[in-house]
Amino acid sequence: MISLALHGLRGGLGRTALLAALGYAMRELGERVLLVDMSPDNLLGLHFNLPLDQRDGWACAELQGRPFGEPIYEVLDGLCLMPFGEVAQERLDDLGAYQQPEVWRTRQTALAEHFDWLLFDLPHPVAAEATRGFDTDMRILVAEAEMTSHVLLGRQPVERYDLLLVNRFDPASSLQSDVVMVWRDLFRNQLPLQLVHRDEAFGEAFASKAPVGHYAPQCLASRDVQSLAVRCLARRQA
Amino acid sequence: MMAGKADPSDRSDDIAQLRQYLAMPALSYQDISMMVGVQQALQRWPLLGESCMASLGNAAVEQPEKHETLRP
Repeated sequence: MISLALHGLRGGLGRTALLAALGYAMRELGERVLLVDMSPDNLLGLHFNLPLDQRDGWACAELQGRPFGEPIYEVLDGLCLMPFGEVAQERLDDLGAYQQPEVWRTRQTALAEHFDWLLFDLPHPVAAEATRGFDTDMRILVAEAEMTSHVLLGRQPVERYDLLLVNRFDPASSLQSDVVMVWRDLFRNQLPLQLVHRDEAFGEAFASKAPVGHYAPQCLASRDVQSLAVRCLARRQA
Repeated sequence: MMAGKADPSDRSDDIAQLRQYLAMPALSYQDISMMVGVQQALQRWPLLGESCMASLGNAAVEQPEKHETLRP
């Protein structure tokens, strides 16, 4: 089993929709996937048709002293999901060590026999410094080809990551093309770069409560995410 | 095309084929158009230029001499 997390340079980069799409694409390739929502926003389940008023999740279970591992939803054959659940703001502190790498390392070991992939949806990066140190086998850094991402990228130790994923790329934008060209030059031999194109289908898919690969399998973004999934599988087989 | 290869010479099949044809796998290749494009981008967008001044400045200093002959 390989664990993977999408790290954000900032919030609002579309990581949750990307992770949902990546999990779906991996499952289409025959992999057994578990998606874990680590964000108190509790949005990941909505990408897989869980009801809006679904409030239970692993964080709720933890606060109530229930064992780890429930609730878990098999949203498609071979694709399971653990929502975070709805937790009141004042109780989030009681979760304490929920992002500690050692806690999750033990849990990952327990899950290893059931899944090929464990995908984590990490919370907003500014709200949780701990996410930077969150420990997974594959670490993908998500950015957009714009200047906020560029400036923040300059402050990151890029060698910590396996891949720089540029989301919502618009090739018609001269600024975006320039930024990607500069990144390819800056990070050559350090950090491979992969693009996911800007695509209205991402928003429409979420509105339809489905991952983009399910909603519009032939769209550009779906094909980009399929490439990403193949790349991840190649890494697993290597 | 090999997606994600950071070195432009690895991304280009034509360069790979040229290397194979000449039996010179270590043939040094400098993507002049990309170098020019990067320089133009850094001039076009002042913040991009300012942020990259240090790192690209060092890279320019560290350019090995053998690349000189390939420059226009």
